[in-house]
Amino acid sequence: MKKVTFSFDDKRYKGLLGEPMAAALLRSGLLSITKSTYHGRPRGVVGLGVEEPNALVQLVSGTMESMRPATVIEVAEGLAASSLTGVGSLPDIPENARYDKTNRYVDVLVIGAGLAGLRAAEAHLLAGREVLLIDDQPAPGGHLRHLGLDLPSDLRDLLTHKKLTYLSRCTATGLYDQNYVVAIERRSDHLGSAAPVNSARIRVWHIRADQIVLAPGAFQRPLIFANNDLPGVMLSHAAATYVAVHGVRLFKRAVVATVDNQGYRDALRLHQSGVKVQGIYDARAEAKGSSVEASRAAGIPIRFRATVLDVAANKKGACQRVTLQDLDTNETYKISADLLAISGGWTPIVDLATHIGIKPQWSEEHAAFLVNHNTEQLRTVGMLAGDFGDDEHPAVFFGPVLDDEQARRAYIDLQRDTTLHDLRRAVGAGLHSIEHIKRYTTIGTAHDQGKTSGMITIGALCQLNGFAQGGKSSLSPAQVGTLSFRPPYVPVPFAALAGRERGLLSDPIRITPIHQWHKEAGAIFEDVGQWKRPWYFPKSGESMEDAVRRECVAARTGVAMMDASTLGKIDIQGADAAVFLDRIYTNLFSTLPEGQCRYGLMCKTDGIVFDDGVTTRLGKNHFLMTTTTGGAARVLGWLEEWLQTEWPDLKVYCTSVTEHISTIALVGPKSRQLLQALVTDIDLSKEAFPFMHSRMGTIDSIAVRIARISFSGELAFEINVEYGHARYIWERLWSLGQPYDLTAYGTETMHVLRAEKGYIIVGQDTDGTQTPHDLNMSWIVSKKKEFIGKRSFQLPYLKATGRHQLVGLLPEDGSEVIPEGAYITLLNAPTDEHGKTSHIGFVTSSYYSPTLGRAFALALVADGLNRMGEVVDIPIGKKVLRANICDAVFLDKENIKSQL
Amino acid sequence: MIAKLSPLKGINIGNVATVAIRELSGLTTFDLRVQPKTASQSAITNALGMALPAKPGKVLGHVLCLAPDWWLLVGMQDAAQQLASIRLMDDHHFSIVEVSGQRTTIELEGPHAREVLAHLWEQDLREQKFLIGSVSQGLMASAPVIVWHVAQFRYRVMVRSSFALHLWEALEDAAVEWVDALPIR
Repeated sequence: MKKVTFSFDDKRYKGLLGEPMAAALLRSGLLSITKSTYHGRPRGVVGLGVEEPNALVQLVSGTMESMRPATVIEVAEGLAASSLTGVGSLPDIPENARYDKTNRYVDVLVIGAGLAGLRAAEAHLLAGREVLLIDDQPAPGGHLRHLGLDLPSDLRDLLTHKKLTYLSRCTATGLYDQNYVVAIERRSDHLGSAAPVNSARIRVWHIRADQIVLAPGAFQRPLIFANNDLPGVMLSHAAATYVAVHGVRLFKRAVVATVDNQGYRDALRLHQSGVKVQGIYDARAEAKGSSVEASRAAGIPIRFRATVLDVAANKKGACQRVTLQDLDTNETYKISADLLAISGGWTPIVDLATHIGIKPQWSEEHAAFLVNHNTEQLRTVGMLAGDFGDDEHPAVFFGPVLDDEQARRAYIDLQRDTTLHDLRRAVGAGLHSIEHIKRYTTIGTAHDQGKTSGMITIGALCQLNGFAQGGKSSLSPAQVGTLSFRPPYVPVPFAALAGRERGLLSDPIRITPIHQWHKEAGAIFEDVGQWKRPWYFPKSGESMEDAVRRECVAARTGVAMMDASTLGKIDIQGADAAVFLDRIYTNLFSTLPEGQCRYGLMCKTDGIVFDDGVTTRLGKNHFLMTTTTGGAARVLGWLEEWLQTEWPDLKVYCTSVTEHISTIALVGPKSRQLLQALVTDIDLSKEAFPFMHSRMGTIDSIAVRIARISFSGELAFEINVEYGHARYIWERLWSLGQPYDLTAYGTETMHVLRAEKGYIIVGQDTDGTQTPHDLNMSWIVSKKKEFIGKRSFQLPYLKATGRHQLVGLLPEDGSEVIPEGAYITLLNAPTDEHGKTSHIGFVTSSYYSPTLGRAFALALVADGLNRMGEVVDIPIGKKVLRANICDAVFLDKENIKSQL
Repeated sequence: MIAKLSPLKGINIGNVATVAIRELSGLTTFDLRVQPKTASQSAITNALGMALPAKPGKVLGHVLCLAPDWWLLVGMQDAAQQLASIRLMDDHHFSIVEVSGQRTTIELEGPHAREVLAHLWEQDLREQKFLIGSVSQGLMASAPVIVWHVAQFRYRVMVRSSFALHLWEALEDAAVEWVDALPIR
């Protein structure tokens, strides 16, 4: 294996590429890796993988990810990490690594590439199924890897099967209903500085499998005794693996405390690697099996009915001397040892199964909670299903009886520094449910979510609850019950969850076909829903205020144009189209002659204004509706809902053409002259082409539909053209318009122009409580027909006085633009006993009008239509502005200009 | 004739040996709405000279069935003219609307095409589940799209024009392991 150099706490270490950082540190002689979070006690490596409760580090290279166990970090050139005490921190640097996510449907998903998972995969492959095999280790084999053994050759061949996808370093983090699994694959960290830039660091897999096989394996668990947290106290399987496989030579003399035959196997491995195993202390009364015989044959002393009671530390705080206890006589004796290897039994990884509500079952024989599930969709195999092999025979034993002083030093959750004493206090306080105790003591709430502490908590509670409930004996773990686990199984960085949905890709940006021109023209853009719309087009050195004034003046006195392509457009056709529109809009459309346009307002059933726009009758049974930019999808959904659920008898079809048709608004007194130079087959004169009429024609042989629609009150033309030709028409107008000083304008100028005319924007000048009457638009409400919302107008609260109504506001100081959203109060309104003044409404739209030469605003004011001429106060911080309530139409009240 | 500008200007990246992604610009498309199994539908199939796929999600030739009463006709320039005579008859209820500019088409071709799509598409793309000649609607990178399995290793994604650049960038990101991205924005 390739040698690499990495750093830990600013010191350089040598390691082998891909080996766990914990192994490299131990081999270098570093036993104490960190200090505990709350008690400040020295702590070392305990386990082998994600179950590690102690050895958390902070990466200081690469993405500087925090709170990762040293047992799962693979050593690579350039890796740098520092020790971490409980609380991690996010680096104050941008996250530039790549993250992505993908979806995968597969016949069979096998979780876990240990022997059981591999055998399950093999069976499914033989049956002709496609298999996705995921495993959180760098290579397949599970426990075989910990034993330093290669895969049997038939299983090695299996990995190249063409119907198998095998993902290493891929951890299933959640199992959900319908066989849906989320997994995270760490793709590049192990490559260190050699990681390719085009590979995602972490990929999130969304997997839907017809069948799932859970083969997650098991974690070894510790025992509860005093000072069980000292560096040098390790799980036996981990200790033996570090020594036998990773060449750790740190330990000279070991003691093994066990409740099963795993302790014997690990003792043998330690012994064979040159560690002096001074004894196996087995809590059981006797033990049988090949590992026991082999240990005996190797000359390792074995003592039954004995276990570890306490550990004494050396000056560095690491394990030095072990106190053992005879469980029958309570007699104690001490042995010097720098390694105390613990085998407290196996805890199968039930997490994923419990995510979907499966309850693990206690097995006395296995001294473990198992999940034996065997349905067509989901099957458990291996240790999770109770396949512990035939050489295990564990006892249900969690540790010796400890006195109060010992209990304070007997750790249950090493990361949370919670002890047996804390657990006793919880039970003493009257808690007995494991879920309550978890929350009271914080056991199982750290990064490892109780992977090693959960089962020994249950074990301790068996005794504590049994006595607390007046019993004389201990309960069975089946009576205490298990913890329920929730996803994710391991911590997942937020960046991985975000995937590629960051920055520009975080939300769609919708653009019109003319967008690139706007960009090149230096437009400043505004977000309107997902659309990017030009807000204003500043010339060099111009402020927003300057630009908007110039654009407004051009529209009112010369000619200006804007890109109105974002308007929603719905093609409506069918024999009942006119009837349908009569029911949708508050005003009549069946009377609209062909080739003409009409402004329409629609309400929801509650009588509240919902959307508005101009609809054109293209033919007898054919209309083109326009909606607000933000309302396009909503309105189409609304129309379809009524057609499909309420009026299926109506012969009407609706089709969205929002993007098929682009719209350019050409506005201003000189617009006719300019456009007529380009359009030769339509007479644009007032007589031939009146206001609110629509004509088909061509521009340079491109089909266009021109409509005399005005959202500014000026003479204006809307040019509708197919998407692909919009940019051409825009540029044609632009070059032809230069002699007229044609000005491009954005949404801000559009707002000023429409507000000067009192034209509402639904959603800006309404707050979801206005009827057409509240907007002073009774004229648009037909009395001759039924339409959606009409009946609600009879509701008392919609007829009551005092409703917020749309009015105009003229600030007394004409240079002062009132902030939008500002509250309006009565003139010199008194304050109540709390020093507050009640408001009578608020400002909805507010601008400076170059045409009026002053600021003006629209507002919703209680009973506003009956307050014309009234002076009101508008408190802005400590300042109070004054304004006159007036009609909402500020310009050309007779609508002469648009009809010119 | 002045050429139409497509949302992605006919961009083309990658290689069919792994995955090629390209815009197919200028496909004429029509939305056809008619009640199935009616005289109107028969009149339409007669006028078009071809049957319509009967089930949502099925494709027949160049006709995609998107809903029980909704079809998308792709690359059939004459469809509207062919139906013009029926349109004049009041007793037939249907609509045919040109929507060529409503969407553009992005085609993915190559052995990794499915893998690239899977990054952005939550639906089942397995060959035996999403057969060649199938179509499905949904959201891809939050943009409304129609996905059409045209041939082996070849898919078309029809995306609303205003979302096209956004989707293109998401696809480029999904294909980054196989394709060198080109600047487009």
